[in-house]
Amino acid sequence: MSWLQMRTMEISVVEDNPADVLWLKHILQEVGVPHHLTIARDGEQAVDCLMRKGCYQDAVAPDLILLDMHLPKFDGLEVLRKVPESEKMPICILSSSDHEKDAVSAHFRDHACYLKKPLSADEFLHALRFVGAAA
Amino acid sequence: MKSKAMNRVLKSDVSEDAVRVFVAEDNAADVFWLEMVFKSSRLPYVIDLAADAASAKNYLQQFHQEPNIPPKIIFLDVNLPGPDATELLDCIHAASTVPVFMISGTEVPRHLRDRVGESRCLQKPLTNSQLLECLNSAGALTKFDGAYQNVPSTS
Repeated sequence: MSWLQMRTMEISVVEDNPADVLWLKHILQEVGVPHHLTIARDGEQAVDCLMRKGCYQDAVAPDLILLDMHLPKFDGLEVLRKVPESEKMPICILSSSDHEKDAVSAHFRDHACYLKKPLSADEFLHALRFVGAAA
Repeated sequence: MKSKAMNRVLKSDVSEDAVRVFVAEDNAADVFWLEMVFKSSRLPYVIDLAADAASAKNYLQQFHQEPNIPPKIIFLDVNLPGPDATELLDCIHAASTVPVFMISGTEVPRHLRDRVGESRCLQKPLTNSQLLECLNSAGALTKFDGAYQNVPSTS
């Protein structure tokens, strides 16, 4: 039995672009991962989501968090700074540019998973391996 | 491996009397979204897709020639890899009057807004209503009077 068949993965997605969320669902279907998605659509919701407070207080701890850098209200880097111990969370950074790469790397002490949008199935599997969910 | 869009033709199950559009877009997520929006509209469609500016230019230099079937409308992503969007607009305007809509994840640059008009610059992702408005303004929906679906939200 592979890890894919073992349990439902809890995935939190911080993404304001509905096209990218739809695409992620398509990739998840392609990979065949049983999953439950929790979605946050701006910086404020992202902080609540990562800290599991507000409307996310009953959310299950995620196996993987995909965090887009460009968000309404405040950006992904600000989210990382506002959430205590975010550097220890199973976060993979999503972005369509390389601009924030240095700041993000510093936040995660050079141990960051950085994925370029739109995600491919291979990159999603790489993200799972990075956070240890596929081990 | 990045999820880049590929040059191809996307069609609805029923393609008789289909609305033909040309889309120049390199982002696979945006192409996937656009096709979902078309599907939700229930219009029969054919989408000629170019995933980079060079392929788009090649298409645009030939689409008006027999036996090719010209699109009713053209969607050009502003940030395609390869030649500048201005060059693509030159190709279109040299050969036809097919309406062109510029699409972008951010604001469309001023020189392109001036070129195609503010109302033809749209931020991605397009909604069902925006798509239908574009098609309607291009006169592409006259034969489908009422036979398509205006879905308020596809998210």
